[in-house]
Amino acid sequence: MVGSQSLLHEWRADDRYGERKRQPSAYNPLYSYRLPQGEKRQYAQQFADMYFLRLQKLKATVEAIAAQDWEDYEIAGERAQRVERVLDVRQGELSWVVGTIYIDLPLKPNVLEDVSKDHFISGPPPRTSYYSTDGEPQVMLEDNSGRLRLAGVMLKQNLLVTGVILAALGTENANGDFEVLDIHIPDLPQQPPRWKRDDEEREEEDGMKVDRPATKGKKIAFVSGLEISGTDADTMHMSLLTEYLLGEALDDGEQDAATNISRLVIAGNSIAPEVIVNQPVGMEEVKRPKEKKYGYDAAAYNPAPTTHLDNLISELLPAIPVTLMSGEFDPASYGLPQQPIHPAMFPHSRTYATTNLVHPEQEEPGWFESVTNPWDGDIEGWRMLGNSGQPVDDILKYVDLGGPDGTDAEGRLEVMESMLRWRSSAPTAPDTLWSYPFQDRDPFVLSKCPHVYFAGNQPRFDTATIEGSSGQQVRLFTIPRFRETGEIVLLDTETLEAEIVKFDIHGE
Amino acid sequence: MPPKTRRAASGPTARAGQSMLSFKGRVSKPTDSTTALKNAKTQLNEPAKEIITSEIVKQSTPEPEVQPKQTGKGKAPQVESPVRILPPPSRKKKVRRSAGEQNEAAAYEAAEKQANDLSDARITKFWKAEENKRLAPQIHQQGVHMHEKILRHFDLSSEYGPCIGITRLRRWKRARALSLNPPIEVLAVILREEAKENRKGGTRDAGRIAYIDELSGARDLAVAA
Repeated sequence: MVGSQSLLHEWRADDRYGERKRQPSAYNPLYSYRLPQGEKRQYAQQFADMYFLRLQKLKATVEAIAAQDWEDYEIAGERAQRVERVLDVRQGELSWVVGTIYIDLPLKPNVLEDVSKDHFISGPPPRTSYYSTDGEPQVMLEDNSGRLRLAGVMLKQNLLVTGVILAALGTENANGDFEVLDIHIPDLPQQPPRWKRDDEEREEEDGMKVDRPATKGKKIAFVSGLEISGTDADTMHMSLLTEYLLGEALDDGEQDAATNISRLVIAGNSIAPEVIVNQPVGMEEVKRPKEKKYGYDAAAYNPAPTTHLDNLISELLPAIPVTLMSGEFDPASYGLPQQPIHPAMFPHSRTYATTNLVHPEQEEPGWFESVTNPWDGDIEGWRMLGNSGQPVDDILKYVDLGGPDGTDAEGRLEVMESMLRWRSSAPTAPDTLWSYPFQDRDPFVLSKCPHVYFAGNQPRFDTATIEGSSGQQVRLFTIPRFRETGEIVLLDTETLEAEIVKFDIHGE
Repeated sequence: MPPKTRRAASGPTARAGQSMLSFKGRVSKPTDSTTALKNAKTQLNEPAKEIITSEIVKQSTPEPEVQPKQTGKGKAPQVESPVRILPPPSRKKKVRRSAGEQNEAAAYEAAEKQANDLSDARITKFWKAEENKRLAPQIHQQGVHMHEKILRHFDLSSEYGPCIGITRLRRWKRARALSLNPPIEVLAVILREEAKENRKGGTRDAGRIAYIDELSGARDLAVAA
């Protein structure tokens, strides 16, 4: 129970109410996942370009690692040879080759099956997992020349999904499959030191070095899965959250602690999924309206959730800067990388945002920033990378980690660690994860290692630190869904430790 | 959920006594959507400042008239200085194009220059060298011009990536950016074909996209090279 000295006491003439100041937030976002605007955004490209770009970018790195390790790899007097194309492996010769993994699972959505079933049965329900115990997944290695089926025990021991670039050492067996003996992945990329980007920009402008004193106790708050819907008015938890962040809740000690929270990051799914009312097609006659109605059709669109969200954010904004990422159920573009929710959805909050929608990198970011999913940027000098959970959820459909619904948090962190080691923030795009067809660059390939990596809308909170071979250290954590758990995550900006604050209602 | 704004009860009863509004003579031409977009974009960035500064000017001009009245009691009337309006402090960041992009643009320009200076003899020599690498000669290509043969060979070289869904020039640029060292002679041929007036084929992109792409029915890639 909270100390109640300040909450209930007699009126005193000399009561002084001090003003509290929030810690400032050093914020320098990157716009790596923004898509070109207007006519430059085209969807006529092929997705094969994305795989080519990804392989091209990571091939050199993997080759270097593999060449160094397998230089003197010998089995029965035979040395391993580097082979250029996957189709050049020969039976009985020990060789290693670099390529992209492709996994064929029995329950994976197959467009040819869909086309053939189109005329006969109604569409299948969306599958929660592609993995099934009967029917083996087929793992193949692919590059621009062709595909090679892989076999061997190593495949079961390593987590592999479509889109991973790796080097495989082995030999072709009698079936024509490539028996894998060893695997190398690109591993963590270079990690920039803290404050690197801010220092570079400051040096260019002023030519002076900046002194950065360590501020103890400064925190960043992460929340995801607010899932505001128009029908359920469950605003109690959100009111508690707002009061806590604004420093209005509890007593002096807690309010002082709340001033340490310098920024709020909302990691997706702020709107609940059941909002859009589906009109049954062809079952009723569409009534002709008697008078022409201007504006939207009120029966289909419910503006209440976005209004609620706007009110929530505009209540927070004068006191705390907010970064809003789009999520799976938010009114943003569908495929990855999801574009920011348009400021038109937030009539009150957008006064705090920049007006330059086409080139936001030219302006100082405002206190309200609507950003992409996945998102990367610098907060307090630390490079952060995060997504609203879709890549992680998609990878878990390939494997059997952590039970059928992945509630075991161990599985989630392992997937996140693997994604960093594969240097890809969404390896299964475009195979099973909808994506924009990139033709010039694959933005999902990580060139710099982040200091913090988070995934929103996960069933539980969990955190870990992983290390790389050249001293990289990354803090991983999952953000639970606020609607279900009532928890937010606070990340300390000096020690990078994560803790949760839970909002709950007594008696529920 | 009812709409947020309600219209007043319409109908002849509400408007009794008022004549109908006439829109005759008002020009209401539909504007081209792209020009409207372009205008809208600039409006977001610039004219807001002009509107604000013009309003400041309007508001501040009455002040010099007020001042002499107030100071007229004991002091000599001062010469009113014109009110200076300072421009709003610019919040623009210096945009640094990443060093990689600038290098790439410069390198491509150099390559383009080199390609334009290439002689036809050099291109022919290049193609002969490529043909000599084959084990058997190509058949059914009698009617195909050498430039087209070079371009088709470039299309089918898978080390530069897939050729479907992208123009040849963009593919060459992309291969250059990824340090794959595509032959400069191919760029020379692409640029020369581009410069030609009469390109065969019915579609706009004939000769620009890969031949197999054309055969498979791809039309009019909207993104230009």
